[in-house]
Amino acid sequence: MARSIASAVFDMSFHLGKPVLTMLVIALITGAGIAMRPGRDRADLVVWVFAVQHQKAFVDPLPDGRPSLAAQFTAETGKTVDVQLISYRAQNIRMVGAFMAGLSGPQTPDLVEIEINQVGKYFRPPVDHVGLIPLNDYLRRPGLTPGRTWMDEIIPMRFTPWTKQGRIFGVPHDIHPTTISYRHDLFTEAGVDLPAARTWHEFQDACLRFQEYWRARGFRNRHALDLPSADGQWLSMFLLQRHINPIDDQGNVYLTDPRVANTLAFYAQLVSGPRKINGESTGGAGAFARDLVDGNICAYITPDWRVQFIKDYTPVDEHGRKVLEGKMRMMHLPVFEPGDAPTTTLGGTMMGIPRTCHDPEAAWKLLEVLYLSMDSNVGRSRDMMILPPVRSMWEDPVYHQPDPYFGGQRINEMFIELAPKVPARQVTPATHLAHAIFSVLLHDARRYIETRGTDGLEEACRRWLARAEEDLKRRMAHGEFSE
Amino acid sequence: MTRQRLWTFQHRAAPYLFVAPFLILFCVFMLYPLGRSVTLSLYRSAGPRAQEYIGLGHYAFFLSDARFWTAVTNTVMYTVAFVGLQVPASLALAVLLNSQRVRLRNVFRFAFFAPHLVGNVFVGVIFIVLLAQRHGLIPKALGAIYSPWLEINWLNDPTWARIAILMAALWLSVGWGMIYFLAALQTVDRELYEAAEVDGAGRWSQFWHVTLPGIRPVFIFMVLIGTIGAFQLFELPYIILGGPGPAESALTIVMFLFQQGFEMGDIGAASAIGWLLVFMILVISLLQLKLSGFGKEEGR
Repeated sequence: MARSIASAVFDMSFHLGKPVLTMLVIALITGAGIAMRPGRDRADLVVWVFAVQHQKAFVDPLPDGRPSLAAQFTAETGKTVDVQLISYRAQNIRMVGAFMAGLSGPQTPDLVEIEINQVGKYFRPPVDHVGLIPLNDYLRRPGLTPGRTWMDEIIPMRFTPWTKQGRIFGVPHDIHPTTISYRHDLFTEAGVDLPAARTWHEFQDACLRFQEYWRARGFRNRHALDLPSADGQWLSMFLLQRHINPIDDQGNVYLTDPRVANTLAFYAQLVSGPRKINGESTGGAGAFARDLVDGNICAYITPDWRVQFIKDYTPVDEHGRKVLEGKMRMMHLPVFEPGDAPTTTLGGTMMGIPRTCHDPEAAWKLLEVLYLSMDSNVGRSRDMMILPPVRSMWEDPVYHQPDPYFGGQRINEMFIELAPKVPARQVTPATHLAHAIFSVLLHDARRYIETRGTDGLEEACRRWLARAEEDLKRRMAHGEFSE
Repeated sequence: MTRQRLWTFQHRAAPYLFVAPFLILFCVFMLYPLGRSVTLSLYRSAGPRAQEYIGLGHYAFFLSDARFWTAVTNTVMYTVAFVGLQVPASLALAVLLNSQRVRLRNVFRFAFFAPHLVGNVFVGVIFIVLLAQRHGLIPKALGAIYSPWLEINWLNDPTWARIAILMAALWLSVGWGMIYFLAALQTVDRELYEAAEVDGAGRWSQFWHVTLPGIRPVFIFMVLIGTIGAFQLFELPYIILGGPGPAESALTIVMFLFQQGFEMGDIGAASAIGWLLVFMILVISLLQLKLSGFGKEEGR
């Protein structure tokens, strides 16, 4: 029977030919399959996150066996939660697309995480038309500590990246105070006491001594510090330590501040010329961890998020211990001059409520559970070891443990000490343009050093920055809306 | 009578009904977006509620904008290098794999064409791994020849970054071009080669005077398609370099468009750049067709 059916099918004629017939049959079957597939029910609240660690912190059961944060919220309110992991780039494109097209409903989330380098564009429209709900009123509600509101509990400077004209559009996830981690064993062997360096110039000298020691012993590819050679965002991080934002929230541009030229010239000398101390690792976190283990790169600038990230990628030895355990140490950032902050910040995330959210009150309650509850600390410390921006959470013992990876240093206490000193970072729609300018100027400065040395470098940087500032202002004026 | 009228109506309407699906789709997904992008390009925009009419403001701004011209320069440089390498390399491969003397020709043909099947994103990811400083296959291979080459910063140095993008693009497209040239080579009349041989023409002379004229339409097509594709370069630098690359060395026109639309959030400005790009491609394509004398033979 089956044979006769098959024979009938194969022997029959179809005037467009069998390939076309096959395609039509496949199209019909798959089309019917798609049409009949039951749609995914939308949860009461949909959350978009771009980091897998964030998703794990929200949906994985707590280590003591209690339900996940999302499940706790559902048990308490009866509302279902769907935490969707969307890649960083895709999420931003979808959010921008949704805001620009005025979408609502299933295409948009009720809560969304936005990364600090992406948030500027969301603030381009006049403040009343920003696609997120201002959270000022919500933040005036009671916080963790009796008698204190969230506004009092959260480090105030961490609101600045997420604020436009006094309206706060996001709750910060982090602070990201920044330090330096280094291969203590290799620096010690070279006889270099890196933490003794109080200024960046002393730090550079110490790193040069370190490299000379190892190069004399045949380690030609041993670099002291991991630092990108032409990334404007990293230059901006150095500038922030000097309390300079390239553009402030009033739209003032500070490229012609003499300290910007000074920092640009110094950075260029960290990454090129005879005083070069940097190495780069371009293959992602795994390749970087390999470089650290191999001693190709021996120190790196360390916002708190980078600690666990690098640890996770560090290989283990035959005893199951991380091979770098005990070999690493952490130190404060050196400064350029007195008055600079002892730290800076790199990266950051907020969570906000899009205007299209159908139930902002429930979304806020969920946001409190995911970001601001004591239980949120559990997932955060287990999966990311990122210091929260809520002061009262810092008392959690998890932030006061010695870390064997860093030879028993209590590195989180160092982050806690630095957290209130992190300078306020301001992000505007044009900030990424400033970073692009820095990237180009860093390249120009490197070329200057390679062809003409360092004489007149800072003066040249000043000239370039003056031109760049003019250009940046022109661009900002073109893109600006009348409020 | 009613039946007759129905038949007449059906007779008149049938052609329109047949073309209706295409026309509706074309209007909804092509014509309307095109028209909308023209109007959008006249606005400064940040969403449906935040739009300001600025007339030709975007066009005037970008035509006097150094960053836009950086993007144009990068794109033109890339296009010249890409087309200049891709077309001869594809043709050389096709000639080689068209020879009866090469064994396992079909295996090689498939091997060279295969990268085209995996697409830009996959190729981008492969090249990130291949070029990772100190750990990638290419730096390791080069480092084995001369140890400082292990440290070449393929992805963070402007010159090397451009070369990396070009390498990835060629790897992706040389095999694809080869298939077109192979098809073209097989249409060249064998008798012409025999006649040329009788006239004492050598291999090179045969290639120059028989093969090239024989595949001329495909050659022009390849140059044209290569140019248009190169002008639209975006995915490879976006994946491999994560954006415009070190010192904006890979800021192409489409990357600039993307930045305006999705990083600055101004879809109006992005539309204006899109139309400037269309205009550029149109002018270059017409120029290429004119210079190559395409269509003259048909006109004679």
